[in-house]
Amino acid sequence: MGRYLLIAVLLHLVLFTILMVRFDWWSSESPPATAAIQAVVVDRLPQRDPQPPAVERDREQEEIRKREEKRKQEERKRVEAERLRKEREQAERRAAEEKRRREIELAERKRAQQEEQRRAEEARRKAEEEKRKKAEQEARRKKEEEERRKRAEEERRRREAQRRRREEELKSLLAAEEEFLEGERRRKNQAELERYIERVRSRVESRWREPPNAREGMSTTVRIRLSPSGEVLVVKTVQSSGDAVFDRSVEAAVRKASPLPLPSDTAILPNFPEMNFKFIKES
Amino acid sequence: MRAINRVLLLKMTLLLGALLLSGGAQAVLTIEITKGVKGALPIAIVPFGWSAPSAAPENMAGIVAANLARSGYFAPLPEGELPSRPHEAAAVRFSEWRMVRVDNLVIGKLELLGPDSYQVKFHLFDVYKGRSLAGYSYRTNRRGLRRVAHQISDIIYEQLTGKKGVFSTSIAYITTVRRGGGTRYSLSVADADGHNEQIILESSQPLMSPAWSPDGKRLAYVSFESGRSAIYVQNVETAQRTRIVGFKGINSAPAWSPDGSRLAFTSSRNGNADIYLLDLASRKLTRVTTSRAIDTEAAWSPDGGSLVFTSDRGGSPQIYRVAVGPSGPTGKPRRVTYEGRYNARASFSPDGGRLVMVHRGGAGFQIAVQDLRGGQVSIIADTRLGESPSFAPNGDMVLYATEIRGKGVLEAASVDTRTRQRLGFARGDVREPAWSPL
Amino acid sequence: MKKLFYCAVAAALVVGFSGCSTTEPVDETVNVPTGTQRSGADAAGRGVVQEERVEGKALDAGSLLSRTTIYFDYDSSTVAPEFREVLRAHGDYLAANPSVRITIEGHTDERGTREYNLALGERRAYAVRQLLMLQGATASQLEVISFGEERPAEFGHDEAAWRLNRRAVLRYPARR
Repeated sequence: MGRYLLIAVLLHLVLFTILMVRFDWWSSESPPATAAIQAVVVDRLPQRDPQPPAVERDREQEEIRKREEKRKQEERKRVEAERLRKEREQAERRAAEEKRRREIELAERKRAQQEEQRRAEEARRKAEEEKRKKAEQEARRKKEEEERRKRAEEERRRREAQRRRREEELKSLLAAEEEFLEGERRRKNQAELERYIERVRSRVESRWREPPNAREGMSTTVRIRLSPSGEVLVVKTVQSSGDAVFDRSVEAAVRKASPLPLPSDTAILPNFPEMNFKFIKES
Repeated sequence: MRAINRVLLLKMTLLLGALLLSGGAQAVLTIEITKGVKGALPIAIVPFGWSAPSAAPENMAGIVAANLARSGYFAPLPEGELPSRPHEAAAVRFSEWRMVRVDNLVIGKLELLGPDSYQVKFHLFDVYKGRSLAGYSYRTNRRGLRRVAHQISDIIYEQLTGKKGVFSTSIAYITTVRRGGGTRYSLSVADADGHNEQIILESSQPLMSPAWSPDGKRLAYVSFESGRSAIYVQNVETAQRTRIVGFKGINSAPAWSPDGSRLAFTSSRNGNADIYLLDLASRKLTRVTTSRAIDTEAAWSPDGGSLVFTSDRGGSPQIYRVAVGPSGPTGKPRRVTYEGRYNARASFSPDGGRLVMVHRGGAGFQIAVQDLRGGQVSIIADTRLGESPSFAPNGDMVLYATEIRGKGVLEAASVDTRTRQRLGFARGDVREPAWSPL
Repeated sequence: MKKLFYCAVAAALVVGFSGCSTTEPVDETVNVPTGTQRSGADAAGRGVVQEERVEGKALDAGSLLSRTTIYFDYDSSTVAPEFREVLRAHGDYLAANPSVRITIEGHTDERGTREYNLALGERRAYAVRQLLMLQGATASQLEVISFGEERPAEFGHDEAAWRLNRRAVLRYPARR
């Protein structure tokens, strides 16, 4: 175990070394990341002024003195001038120094400023990034929120629809049941009515003597009014065959059939106690 | 029957469905009746009142009841079942007649007004409506009472069936009576019910083919009194008679044209039996058929525009029809019958739409009616030896002769084959009935 | 005399048909063989055949002349071969006696309609007349009358009567 650990450590070291060398090699090959910035700074350094001219000495005493004097004076002057020059130089130097310092300071400030700016920029960028991220996040959140909402809405709708469908189904089921019951009731009534009609018909038919002059197609309709016990009270010809004998045979048949049977519930008879009989001579 | 009912039921159901759907308060249940009963109409005929203590000279109600029953359309209530015997309208209680389930009621009375003078009154009631349908009064003598009863029968018949009654008509017929070695032939006229028979001609020689003139006053017939057949015309009332056709050969089958101006008959004066027309006023003779076959038994269509006759030109006797105008035939005879091996002696129904004839289908000589439009043949009397059929003047019945247990009788069958009645005659063999016009 | 003649004819018929009915019906659907005819046998009276043969040919002719009724099939006017001999005898007799005038009556059975039967009876009588004229009888000697079904010889309503009623009858005047 310990051995493996050692080997692992070693391997890591080797790897690390390789990586570092490769890094160096990589970096020597490529320009320094800051070169552009330094170049900018060098370019900005001020130009140096030219050297002062040399003094001449081959003249007479007077000349010499004078010259001396003159030289002295001149020396003084020169010293003065020197001094002045020195002072000026100094001043200039100082000024230059100052200027350079100021420039450096300026550059420094500028750099700082730039740095600051960069940093601000960075910060801003970061902030913006942050903001963007935040916005994105917000958007995503919102979107998610929206989607969730939508999903919820959909779900709600689905449920609502389902509920409604179920309700519908239930309703139609109820309706169908109701209809079925209604149908049953009607069928029952209808069946009862048919049975009743059959009873009445056979009773009337067995009492109708077709007159010998009856021709195919002759038809008479009579309306009768029944008493509550089924007695034929009134017989009225509502549509005559045009033949008195035929019409009379019809009235006689209906009267002879009196009393007519009644159904257990007269409500199944439309417009009871009135009833029509249509007598038709068939072939 | 059942199928019909089912169809009806379906119709009813549809109708009902429509009613229920419409749901209108005005909808009234309508029941369709399409089948009645064919049975006879129940009717009560109360014996007529009679004023004198002696027996009534004629049983008016009895004559009327028998007439109506014979038609097949009525079922008179037996006298013993009458709930009461009113003679006046005021005495009629309809409820008691409804109880015995009769549709109609006839009451009447007979009064003696003077010597051989009678008054007859009658009423016909609708029992269920409870009102009078007809009421008449007659004056007549003793002999006329029967005729009045027939007239009453006609009125009732027409009121209740919508068709003319034929009870007041007469029939002419031939009777033969064998006595010892010989046979007596007679031509008689009787009321349509067979009563009131009057012999208008008697002969030891055959008599045949009586035919009424359209006015009902004369009879044409064939008599062999001269030793051979000849056609005579006799006035029924005055008995005055004339031989009007007596050619060489046979002279037979006289038939009056509907306007009474011409007589169609059969003559073999040219060698074999053909149809001729004789104009009675001008005595002009026109030949209608010229075939070498037997052509005989001509009968006029009611419009007088054509004749049907029997001919065996096709090999067996069949009915042919030929159009005739004032001057003779106006077309070629065309065969009418194709069913059966033997069709003969056709005559028209009063409406001209049908023929009644002797038809040999299976075993016997039946009485058949053929519809001239559709051509269908229907047997209305399945007789073995049916002959001489003719329609009643109202077209309801066919009168014909047949043989029952060796005796010639007359029968009347309703065209709808519902009834078949024998006319009762006391004596001899009766045949060749001819129904008088209305 | 007339009565006597009728009686003779009637007697011959009765004898003839009573004999026949026991053997075979005189219905044209069951024809009497023609061979018997030619040999002179009498279809109407087998019972007397032996006796007649003894008498010889003259009696044969007399026997044929005594037969005056010709029978026909239902709704037919064709003279059956068995009756041609009879008609030949009558034709010969009439030809030999031109002053004799006879009446030929045509009859039918009761079936079918009366007027049609009247014409049918006449047609039968004419058929007989035709055969008599072929032997030499003249039209003026022969009178034709049809009675149709109006004068039946038998009054029954069955084939036994009908076959006797479908006939033509030769009527000689009452001279014997």
